[in-house]
Amino acid sequence: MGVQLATAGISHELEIKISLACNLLHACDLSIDLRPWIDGSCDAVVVDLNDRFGRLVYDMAVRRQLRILAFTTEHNLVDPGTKTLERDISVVAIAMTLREILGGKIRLNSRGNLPGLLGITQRVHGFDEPTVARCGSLEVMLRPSAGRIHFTSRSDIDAAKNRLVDKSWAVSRVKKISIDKQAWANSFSLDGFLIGSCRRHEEFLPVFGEQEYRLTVWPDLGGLIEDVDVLRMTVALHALSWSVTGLANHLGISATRANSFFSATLASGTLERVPKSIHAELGSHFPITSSIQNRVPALLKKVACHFKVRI
Amino acid sequence: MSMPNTGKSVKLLFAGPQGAGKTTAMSAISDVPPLSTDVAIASGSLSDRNTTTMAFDYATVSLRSNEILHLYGLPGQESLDFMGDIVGRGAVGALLLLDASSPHLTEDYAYWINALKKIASGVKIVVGVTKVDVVEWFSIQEIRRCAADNGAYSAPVLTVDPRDYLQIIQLVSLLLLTI
Repeated sequence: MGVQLATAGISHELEIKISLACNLLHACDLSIDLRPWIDGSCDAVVVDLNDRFGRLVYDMAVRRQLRILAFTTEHNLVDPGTKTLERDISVVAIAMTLREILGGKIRLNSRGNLPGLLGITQRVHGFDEPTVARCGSLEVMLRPSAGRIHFTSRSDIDAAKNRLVDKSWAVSRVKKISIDKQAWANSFSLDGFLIGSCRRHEEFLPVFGEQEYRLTVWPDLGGLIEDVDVLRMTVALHALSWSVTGLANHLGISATRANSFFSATLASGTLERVPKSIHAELGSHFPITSSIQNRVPALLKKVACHFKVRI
Repeated sequence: MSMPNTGKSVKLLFAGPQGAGKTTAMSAISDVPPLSTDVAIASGSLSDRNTTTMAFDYATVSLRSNEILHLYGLPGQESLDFMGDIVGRGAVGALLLLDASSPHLTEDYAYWINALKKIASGVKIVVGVTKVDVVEWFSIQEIRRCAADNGAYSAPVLTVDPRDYLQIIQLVSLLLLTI
């Protein structure tokens, strides 16, 4: 059974947003049972303080020391322990606040299974046969060994990015002969799609532990323009094995950012877990303390500066 | 045309088969359009291009402190043997552009990786695969497999549009990070 979340005084529009936020949290294994407030038997409440019933439930929840998310524009009038949001906030922001209230981040399980479309991509890695994945009426075609993802329309691309970690993705394998290639004409780099999409959901991805990973193949970063951090992570992970926190510290980026890159490349099959014994061997050949800056002549640094590349 | 002194400058090479987009890519990032040695393709050619580069292209990017990044577009295979040594000398990196619509994609990859290693020993290479959108069922796996089978130099391979400034900058950035 999941977390019991009760709502009170919430408008229909806001209820839809909260419901979508709960679905997002499902993707990172935070299961939420959302229902209206009845008798106070719940783990947390979501209330609108502009509504009289919402205000009443809020006062009861404070007395019972329940976890509370309140929608209000008057943030200074609530109990200090209450999280507040404004009504026009995005679904993602609601999901992030709920997760903050209801529990911490979810760790990647021992089998390294990823959620949603990421998980499907991970499972079909290396397949020569195309695979169609569906999420409601949305369809994408994965060609894992070709490193490509196909869509039937350009608008589906953004929709697929938005639903990347949705748990309702299902898979059906198709034979090459039955594919209408013209219908799937919108094609992109699978690596590029996953890296860009994971960035959008980086707060909701399972957290990698201290285990080290390494890129065994250069990912196709086509389409990931103006993202030097992705290039830096790619180069570092191709040269050496790293943990998420180790890489984040080395490059001076957030662990969340590094974690999203690990998720995308693990799903596409370019990233592999490195056993400790092999890591020790690699470490003796490539000292981790070596800095790329020590090897770059001054003029090359100027070229990098001209193109706004941080090296 | 006098050759610039490359002793105190940075030289980048743009390599690849005819029609892969070398001149276009150079134009995307250079200060002025490349000085080209293009000539008209003879009538009856199967290509839809009107010109091809007989010797090499040259362009510059002005850096701060009046220093220059020199860009050289290498000629096709026919002229590479006698031009390669001259143009390749002192290069720090190469962008290898390959045409995804070519039936010789993997052969081109293997040829140019080996040629670049020969004319500019130790040069770092980043591969950009162009015209992916005109190939109905493109697969990057063919190039990855070719690299693994031949034990070729493991260069990053990216799909790019050579007309797009930001995508060429992405290739150059990746190249700089690997040096």
